[in-house]
Amino acid sequence: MRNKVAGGTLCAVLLAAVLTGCGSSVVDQASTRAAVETQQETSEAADDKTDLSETVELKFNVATGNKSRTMTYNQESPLTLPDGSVVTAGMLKPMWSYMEKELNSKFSDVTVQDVKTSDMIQTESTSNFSGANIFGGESIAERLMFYGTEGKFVNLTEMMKTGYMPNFKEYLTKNPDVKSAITAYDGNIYHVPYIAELNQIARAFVIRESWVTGLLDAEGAAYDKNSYDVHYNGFYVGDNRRTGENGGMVSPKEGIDIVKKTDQDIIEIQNKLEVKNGETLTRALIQYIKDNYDYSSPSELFLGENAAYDIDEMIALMRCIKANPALLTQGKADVVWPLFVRQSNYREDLLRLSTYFNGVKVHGADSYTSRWYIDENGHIQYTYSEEGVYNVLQYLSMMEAEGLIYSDAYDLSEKTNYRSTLWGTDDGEAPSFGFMTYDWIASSTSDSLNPDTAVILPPVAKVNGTWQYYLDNGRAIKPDGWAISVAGSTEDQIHRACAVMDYLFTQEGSRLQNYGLPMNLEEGKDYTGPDGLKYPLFTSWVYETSGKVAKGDLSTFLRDWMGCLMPIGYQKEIGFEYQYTSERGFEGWTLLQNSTTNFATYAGKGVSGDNPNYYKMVPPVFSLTSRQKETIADTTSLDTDDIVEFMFNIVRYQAKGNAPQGAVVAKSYEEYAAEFKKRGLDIYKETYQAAYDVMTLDKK
Amino acid sequence: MQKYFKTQRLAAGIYTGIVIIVFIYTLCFMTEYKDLFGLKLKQNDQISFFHDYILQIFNKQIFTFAVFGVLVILLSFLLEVFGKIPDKFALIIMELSLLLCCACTAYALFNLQAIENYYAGLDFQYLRLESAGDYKPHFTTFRIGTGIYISYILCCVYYIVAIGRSHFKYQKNQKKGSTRNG
Repeated sequence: MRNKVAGGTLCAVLLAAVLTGCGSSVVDQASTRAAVETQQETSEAADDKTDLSETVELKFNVATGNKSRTMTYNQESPLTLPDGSVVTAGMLKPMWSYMEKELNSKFSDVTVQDVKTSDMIQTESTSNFSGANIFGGESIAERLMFYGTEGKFVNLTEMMKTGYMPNFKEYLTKNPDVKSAITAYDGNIYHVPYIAELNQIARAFVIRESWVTGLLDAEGAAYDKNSYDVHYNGFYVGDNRRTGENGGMVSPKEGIDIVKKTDQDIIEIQNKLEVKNGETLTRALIQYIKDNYDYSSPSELFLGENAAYDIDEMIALMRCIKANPALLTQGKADVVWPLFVRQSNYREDLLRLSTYFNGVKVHGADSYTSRWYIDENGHIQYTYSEEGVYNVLQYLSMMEAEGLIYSDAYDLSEKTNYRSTLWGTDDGEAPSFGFMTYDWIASSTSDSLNPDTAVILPPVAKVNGTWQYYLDNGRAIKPDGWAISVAGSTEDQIHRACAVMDYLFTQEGSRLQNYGLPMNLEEGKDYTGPDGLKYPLFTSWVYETSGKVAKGDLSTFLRDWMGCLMPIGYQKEIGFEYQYTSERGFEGWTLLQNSTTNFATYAGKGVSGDNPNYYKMVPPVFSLTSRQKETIADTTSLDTDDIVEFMFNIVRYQAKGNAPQGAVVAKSYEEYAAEFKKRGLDIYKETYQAAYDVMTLDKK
Repeated sequence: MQKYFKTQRLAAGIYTGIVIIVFIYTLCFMTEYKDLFGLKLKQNDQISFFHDYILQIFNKQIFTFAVFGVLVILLSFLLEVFGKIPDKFALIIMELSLLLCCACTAYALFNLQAIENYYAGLDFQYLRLESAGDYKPHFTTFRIGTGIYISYILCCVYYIVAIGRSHFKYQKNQKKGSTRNG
């Protein structure tokens, strides 16, 4: 009996075990379920589900920190459109009213009109973004991506998979760089970005042309004789003399070679002058050009298609300008500013000169927060802490000490537009005069600003180990854009918000956002750009009205009066810019396009050199995980304004040695690097490298 | 007869002990894999899948089994297995319950093996992108689990045999006694 019991039990246990074993494991079950879900998702790639049959109300919170730039018309004077309709303060701007009708929606702008985007995001995040359906603005892509991964913004990847936003989906398929730049770390897209005119030059060097010819070519010019103090010691000196293999011959244009005949350095020559004033400095520069180049007139070293000046020659010219205020302004001013930035919060544009000090990188994209470049191993490197940048700060400091840089630009509380002041007040009662800036071509060459401005080639320099003409500033995917709130939206509102975002990627919507209402464009007529492409042509009403209300600044008119060109999700076209570019602006475009000048792009093509990734732009933002954000917040302090202040302390005070009490000025690179290290540079780099790895893993 | 009853009580005691160990094990099962929680990178999708759809589901399953094991202990008390020789009804209930426990344990053992193999095949190189340190795979939980469940199944078998033998021996003795009396 005992054996029977034991035998029966064992049989039962074995049977149970075998039966269990025959079934599939939890691994198999989970895998099968995942496969089925994936298959369902794939088969769900549906047709366009956009449905505009019902009117849906949408609330927008699109902040720009400037009440003129919101969706709401905030001008004092009403605007009468060509069809006779009148837009008054408090109404939606015409573009948004038009879009509202086209998409059978009811738009409400709930933005606090003057609020900064960062403040808006901060405030709205506390209520899970339930106050509106669409949130957007400037420099918020990182926040939108982060909150998206937290489930607070709609997963647009899912929406596209299920048949919404077909035009945006198609756009991303055609533009994989954009797709990769806006994809959050979890592989999903949560916002639609503002994409500038990719593969176009961004900023260029723009100068007062007549000042160069007036100084260098004019016979018997009455140069100023006030004494001039020098601080800058030159870059192409010592072992780095520009001669022979080291930049002795450069090609600004195919088939044109410019030879520098000697190893002289103009800065050394000027510094050795016994008497330094407007006359001696300028005559030394003219003589130097004659001794070293075969130009028919000395100004050709800087102007036109044969320009072949390097950074020392540029600084030498700036000295001549600084030292000749009376000559250049016909006695209207006793101070002129050779180099300036548009406004104080653009002061980091000064750092862009680093390219011309042996190709030192400062900004990997068209944003001051993009302080990265991609090294030869495909890793990102933080630029601001590098020795090359420290050296550039020292050079800038010497330039500052000579008064070559407009010094108000260091004061961030100053909101003046210096470009308007230094170029646009020549005939005013209190004129100010500036010579050169590094800025956008169309606006900088506007006839209404100053008819004397002209684009010049960039300084020639050893960039990426090769002597060439290079602008490290291409147009980029911007860190601006918009996203759809989950908490604030019903399903219908989500679908309609998708339709709104998608609309700007249709031909019609793109025209609307880039150029304005159909009634503002000539029907059946096109504008042919210098690139040979056809673009919508503005009617005369647009020019006339912008002339009346916005001093002819078409860009401002379209933004502040019409509601177009806002920093929300859309692809900007260059056709608008072409149509408000002056003849001199076009000449500038042509000059650069016909030259060998290369510029930064996402594809990163250029003359082969030390680093195959040198010409590549970095993504506008990096999508950080919660853990990475915590790491950055808890252990680093490099995203604060004071690190930039620390850098500019070097520019302002190092050469002059006049630092006020409390201003920390790094006296050596070791001190400079130590500050970055103290602020957690190693962890900062490691964390961003990890984020970058995620973005690029699919491409490897 | 006393000897068989002692064996039955011992088997019930051992079973109670192992069920408590199993229960604690199921509560601690996920602890060693907490680093795999909340991953969002698509490069770590497979790890997330492993954590969310394999480990957690398996953990729920073995927890349910452990709860059932605890119920079997309660059943043992209700049916007075600790104090009496089980009658036919108690025997059938206990044997069926314990057989079910065996089946569940066999299932757990089988899955532990499958899960361990899956875990060993995961690629952890991108885990550093979401956590601070380097991750090293941990197999201790699986190994301990295998040991516990093998012990559990043996205990169940021992318990089944013990109460079965005790019952049948008692029945046999009863029959002998009644024959003698008759």
